[in-house]
Amino acid sequence: MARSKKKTISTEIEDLNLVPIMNLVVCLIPMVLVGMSLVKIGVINVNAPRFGMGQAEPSDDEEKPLGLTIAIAEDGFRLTATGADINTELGEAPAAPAGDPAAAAMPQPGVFIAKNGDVYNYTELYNKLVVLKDNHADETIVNLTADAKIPFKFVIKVMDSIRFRLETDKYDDAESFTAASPKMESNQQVLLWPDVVFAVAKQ
Amino acid sequence: MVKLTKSQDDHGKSREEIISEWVAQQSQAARQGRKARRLPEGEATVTINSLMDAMTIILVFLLMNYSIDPLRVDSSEDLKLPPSTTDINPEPSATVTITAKGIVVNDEVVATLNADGQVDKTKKLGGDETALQIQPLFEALNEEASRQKEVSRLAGSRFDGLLTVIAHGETPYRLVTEVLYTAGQAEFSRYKFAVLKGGQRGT
Repeated sequence: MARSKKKTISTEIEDLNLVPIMNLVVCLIPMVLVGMSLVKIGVINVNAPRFGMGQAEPSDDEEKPLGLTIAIAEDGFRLTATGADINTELGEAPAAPAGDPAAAAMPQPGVFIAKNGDVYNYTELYNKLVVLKDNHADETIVNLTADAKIPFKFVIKVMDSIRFRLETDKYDDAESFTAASPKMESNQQVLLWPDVVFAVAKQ
Repeated sequence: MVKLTKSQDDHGKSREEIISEWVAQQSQAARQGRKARRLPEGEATVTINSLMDAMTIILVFLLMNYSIDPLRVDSSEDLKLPPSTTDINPEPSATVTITAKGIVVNDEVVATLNADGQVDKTKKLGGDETALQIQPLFEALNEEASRQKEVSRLAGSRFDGLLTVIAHGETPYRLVTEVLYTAGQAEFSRYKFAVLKGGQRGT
């Protein structure tokens, strides 16, 4: 009986040599990591700055704008307005900084929000701006100014505190203010004082 | 038995002995082949296929993030962006970077800052310390504005005058306003401040 000879063909496949590709990938990953920043960058919109605190007087038949200004000083915030008596609206006596009789003698020295120790009182700033917004619902513009040496980060914190209305109109402590979420209407955040205009008085 | 006797060859081996000898040789050769493919004693290989998969996925992820980021900020001790609660994403635009040591436009330092974070008065318009316009910054931004206008003209679009200010958190407010004023003189009329996303309100 004839025996068929079976030729054995090697079916083993050599492993693909991935080492060069690995080298390439290992080089590319650090390069991309170095080139990209892992922190998320956002932006805050601001309006063109207004230099000099002067403002054109509206004619008699025009409603006078509120002209609200927040000034960041070393010792706290000062709120002033050219178009309304915010001291009366906020139920605050004209509070000039201590030892400043000239400011106290001004017709509207504004409202002063002192620091809590070394920390600015953003909660009280929000509470007062909500009251002013309720009294002047059409107003959106707020002028923001600061002492020359105030760090920029405090300006950003003030803008964060006043742009949107939160769940509640009044907060008693900083913790609840920090934890609060923005108030939503029709799936959009309710604005408080969104149009910030930078102002600086010429020296 | 007769058959066996007949199958004996010249060396006096029976057919079965020859076959069993051949089988033994083949199996020994196979053993030696396997042994030859084995690595020397004490060495081992790593299967890199799965590692390769993981690295490819990481590389694709990083490249995708890299390509969709319109604003890149290399954080350092001299450039720490202030945190904010904003959720607005940056747009492609001209940028001015204010670090603790200088003002940078298009990767070029246009003005250095002193220890107080102020520009030397010789760099200001008319050499006046109280002036708001920083002359080398104005020239750099003016050039950038001209370039963008030319690009807009060729593309058939309008120059939007958008400028993103990337400022160190400790930058004095006065310097920020000087930069904004100078940008305004160079026909940039819309501003955005770059911030770190994920900040907490009022802290």
